[in-house]
Amino acid sequence: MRLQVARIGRLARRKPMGFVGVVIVIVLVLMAVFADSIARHHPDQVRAAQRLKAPSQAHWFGTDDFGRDVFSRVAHGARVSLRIGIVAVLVGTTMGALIGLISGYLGGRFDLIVQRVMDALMAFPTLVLALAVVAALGASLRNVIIAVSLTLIPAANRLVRSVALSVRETSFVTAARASGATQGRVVFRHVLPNCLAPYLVIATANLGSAIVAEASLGFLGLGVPPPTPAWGSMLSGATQSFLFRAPWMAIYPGLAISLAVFGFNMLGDAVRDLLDPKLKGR
Amino acid sequence: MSRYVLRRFTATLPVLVVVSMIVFVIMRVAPGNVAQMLLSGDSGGGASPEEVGELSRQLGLDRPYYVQYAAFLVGLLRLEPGTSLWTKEPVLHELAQRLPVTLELAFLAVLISWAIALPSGVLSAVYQDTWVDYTFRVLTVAGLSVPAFWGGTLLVLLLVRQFGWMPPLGYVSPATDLRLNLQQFIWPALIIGYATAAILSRITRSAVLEVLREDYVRTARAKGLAGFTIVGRHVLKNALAPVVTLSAVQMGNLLGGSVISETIFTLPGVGRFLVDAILHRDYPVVQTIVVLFATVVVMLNLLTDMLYAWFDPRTRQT
Repeated sequence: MRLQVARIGRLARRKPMGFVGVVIVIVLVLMAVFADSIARHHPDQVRAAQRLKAPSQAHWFGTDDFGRDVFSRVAHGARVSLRIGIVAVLVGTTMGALIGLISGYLGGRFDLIVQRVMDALMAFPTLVLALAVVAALGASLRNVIIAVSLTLIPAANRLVRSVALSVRETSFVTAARASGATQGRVVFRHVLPNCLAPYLVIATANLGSAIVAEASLGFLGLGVPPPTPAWGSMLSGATQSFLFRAPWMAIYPGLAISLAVFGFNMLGDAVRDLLDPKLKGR
Repeated sequence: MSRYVLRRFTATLPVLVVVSMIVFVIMRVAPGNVAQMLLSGDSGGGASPEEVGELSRQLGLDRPYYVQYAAFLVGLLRLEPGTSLWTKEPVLHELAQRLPVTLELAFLAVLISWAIALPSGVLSAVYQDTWVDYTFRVLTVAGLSVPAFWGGTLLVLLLVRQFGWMPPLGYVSPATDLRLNLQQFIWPALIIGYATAAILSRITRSAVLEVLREDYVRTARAKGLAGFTIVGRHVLKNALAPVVTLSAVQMGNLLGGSVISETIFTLPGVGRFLVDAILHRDYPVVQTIVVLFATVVVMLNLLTDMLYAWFDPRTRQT
């Protein structure tokens, strides 16, 4: 136990910013998990008498135009926004990585066609693609996750494909093939493990952008539909019309988004430094 | 070199065709019948099925999808992408009014991002691991973490509360009144420029750091050249390639970002037009703008690749 504490201490000294990032992420995750216990009010409870109240002892972050407790909504919003961010990154990066792995390993016409589709997805400005997909599928938690993960596929595909291309040419792959290993075995036992480090790097780096993408969709009114509290949606609509009467409605959800993005970015930088020594210190 | 350019250029065409297919399919999958929306407003209901069918026929929306898609492609190639289903104006005419807004915002934002990123990146690298470096790095990370819509909201709040600034109501073109025009654009451009500068400054820092370790820089130093002469004459020139590349990529992102920035600052640009068109299923408008954006992104990529090939002939092979 003591050994582990010392180890964490050493890591914290070596990567102070990464450590700060990890702490922020842990705090936000705890907030999401224990949202019910730390918030004294129900996030959806409407109280006409408590409309647009400034931050106070009873309502730490004030109340919104329905008299709902903003702190409670930010805490519960962590559940929605973090879940969307994390699941979207897992789905999008994994799909992109698998496509890149197989496409890069197989090469030939399959690779050519798949990569043109990826190029086309990359040519879409990120947010526009997500917007169109949510508009087509309808605004819901699941569809926002689909839209955000779709925007993450091409970059992950490109990175993992380039690694797969270079691993394919190594002598241990040739050796495995010569010894009669099936194509599936070569891909998943020999090529895949070498793609894990870049996969982790791009997955952690994407967490921040996924949170921003989800929040942007919410801001434009195409995120998780109300009354579900999600950070981006809390900034749109009424918040903008009551901006001058109740600025706290805009300040706290935005602060939560920025903290989350900051934490994930710091975490991502640290992971990249640890796994990719070439980029150290940049 | 010219063969390389030609090969790369022809390779972009299939990409744009796939883009047009994707956006066409996405828009047709979208629920909501545009004819019904046109007849009864956003709420729906009120129009009889006969009326809806009649309007669909008039708009050509009852034709098979492949016919509609072919018509869309032919229209694009002839630079006549049709008329907006809602405003009844030609799409190109609508775009001509809105494109200057989006382009001016993107241009100013890029300008500001360079003005911030170059000095801060260079200083960060030259004074690596000193308080100068740390200050700039914290500032850039902050810029990365504050999404434009929140930064913009806070800025509007601050300007109005503290300085009595009023958000402009109508758009003023720079040709009519440059001062009034800049008053409208400077705040959104600052917010977006700062966010854009964050990544650019990081890249500048790492590019300069890399060049600073080169032998010719050591030679220049040994010759006794002053620090800033070395940076100006030897380092910056060689460190600029990745910075220019990233800047081009960012310009493409700014087009997508216009969707957000024009919403906060109520600017009548292409981004806001696109959001409204998506929500109202204005097929010709959405399809045209998306293909236009994609074309710009693809052309910017091509341009940077060509710049690279010109800088470094080794990259022409791949």
